[in-house]
Amino acid sequence: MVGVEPARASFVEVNRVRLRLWEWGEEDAPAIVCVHGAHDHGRMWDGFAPLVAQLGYRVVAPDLRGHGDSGRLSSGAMWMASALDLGLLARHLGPPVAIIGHSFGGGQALYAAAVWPELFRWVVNIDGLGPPPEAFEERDLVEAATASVANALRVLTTPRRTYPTMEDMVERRQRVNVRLPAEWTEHLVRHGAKETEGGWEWKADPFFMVGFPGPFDLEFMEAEHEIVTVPVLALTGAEHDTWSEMTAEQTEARLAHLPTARHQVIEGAGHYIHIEQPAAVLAAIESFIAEVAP
Amino acid sequence: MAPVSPMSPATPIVVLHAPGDARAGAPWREALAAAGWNGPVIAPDLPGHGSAPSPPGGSYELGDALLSVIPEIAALADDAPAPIVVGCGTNGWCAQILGLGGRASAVVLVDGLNGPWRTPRQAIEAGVEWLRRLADDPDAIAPPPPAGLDPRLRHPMGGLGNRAYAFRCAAAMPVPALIVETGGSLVPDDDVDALAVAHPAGAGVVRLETAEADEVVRHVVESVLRTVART
Repeated sequence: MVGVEPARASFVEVNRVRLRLWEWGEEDAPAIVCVHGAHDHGRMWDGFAPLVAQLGYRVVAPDLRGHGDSGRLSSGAMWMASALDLGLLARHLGPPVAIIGHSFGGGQALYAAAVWPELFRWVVNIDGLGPPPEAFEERDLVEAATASVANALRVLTTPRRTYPTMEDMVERRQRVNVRLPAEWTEHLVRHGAKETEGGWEWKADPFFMVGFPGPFDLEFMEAEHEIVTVPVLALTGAEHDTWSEMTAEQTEARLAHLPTARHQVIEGAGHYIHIEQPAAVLAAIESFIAEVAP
Repeated sequence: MAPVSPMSPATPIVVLHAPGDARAGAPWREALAAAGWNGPVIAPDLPGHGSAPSPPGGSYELGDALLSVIPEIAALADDAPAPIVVGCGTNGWCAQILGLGGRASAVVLVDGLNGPWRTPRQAIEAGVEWLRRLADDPDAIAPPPPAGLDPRLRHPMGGLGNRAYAFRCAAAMPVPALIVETGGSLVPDDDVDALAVAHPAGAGVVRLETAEADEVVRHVVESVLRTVART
């Protein structure tokens, strides 16, 4: 057992999808939405959310569409639909709210706040500035289209992968997230898996992995960051890690397109900064709030 | 249209109607039948149109049409030639993916070049405006109807709008193309011609004065069947 069980669990219907919500803190306190990353779920905040709630906030952590207990999606091109979910969730909770996002969820937090600055007071982005520049290098279109169509066909026509035991899923995940403490890997798997006939499978919708080539590139990502107008705190870990592959110079170049951002590097952390160094992240957020929303 | 080979009356024809077209695939199915075409036709009502329910999650992505037809194309007989794929409006991009991905013997792009061109900043701002319109339209975010045109589709997503990407697609396309530009085209004439030239396997251009839906369907069906007959 790691962290603290949520005080409340519920579902809300927004934007045609049923979202699972996990909550900590008093219901009438100002709301902070915590958004998990790709393939994760709201229970990844079990350690950090209670700390934020103790500052006097209602912390609401959704399972994004296609993740955890929330509804399905049609493809991995769910960036805008998921941002709309967050905008409507903010309306549901009573705007303006604040938003903290990790990784993919950090990008979602920036985008939702860019679209609806009247709904989001500030953003904390935890290692969610996007992939390194080399990830945007142009691929051969024939090769990319061929692979993407084959992948879509595979997802559409083959049964989901089943693992014999949950331990097999933990082992699989440990190979990717090498810095995550073992008890956290187990926690993320326990809440991210479901038992099925013949074993266990991920709750995450396999259609999240379906995508096709398009023009989205670094220039688009930078343009998306440039329209953010609310205060932003960007946190990155000092340690190299899976999904934390940008150099310091690349991070600074990315941040140059986020004019409202402050940046802080957290020592002793890789990608899951708030799990590895919760006290340091909490202190950074407290200082940020004191500065932008006293 | 540039020569397509091998081609026979058994060549399947796939049609991806335009997003937001309330009549969905029906006009295409009817026009092909009326023209006497008895080869395989895959011209479905795409999700949220006609008889097809909205996609899982009720949101619309550019890849919806692909996900609708990829299994059907894969299920064609092993000895069937790869289909001619017609993509209308923003679904021209889907036809291009199938052409690039080895799943088409030719592509027909009906106002399908994905104009008007935008800078990345303009594209991002258009996306913001689109999301804000959706959020403020109760019908667009309420549960979708079981059939008929989903009111969410009253807010068209817009095309990719990326001129450089359009030229990359053209230059990489391994199969012949027919570019049909109607009176509603949003791509500059000069770029249409340049894009046709950029197709290494050849591309023809047909310009229609009209943007009237039935006339466009009839012209495109005639052009496609003429090509099939010629080869």
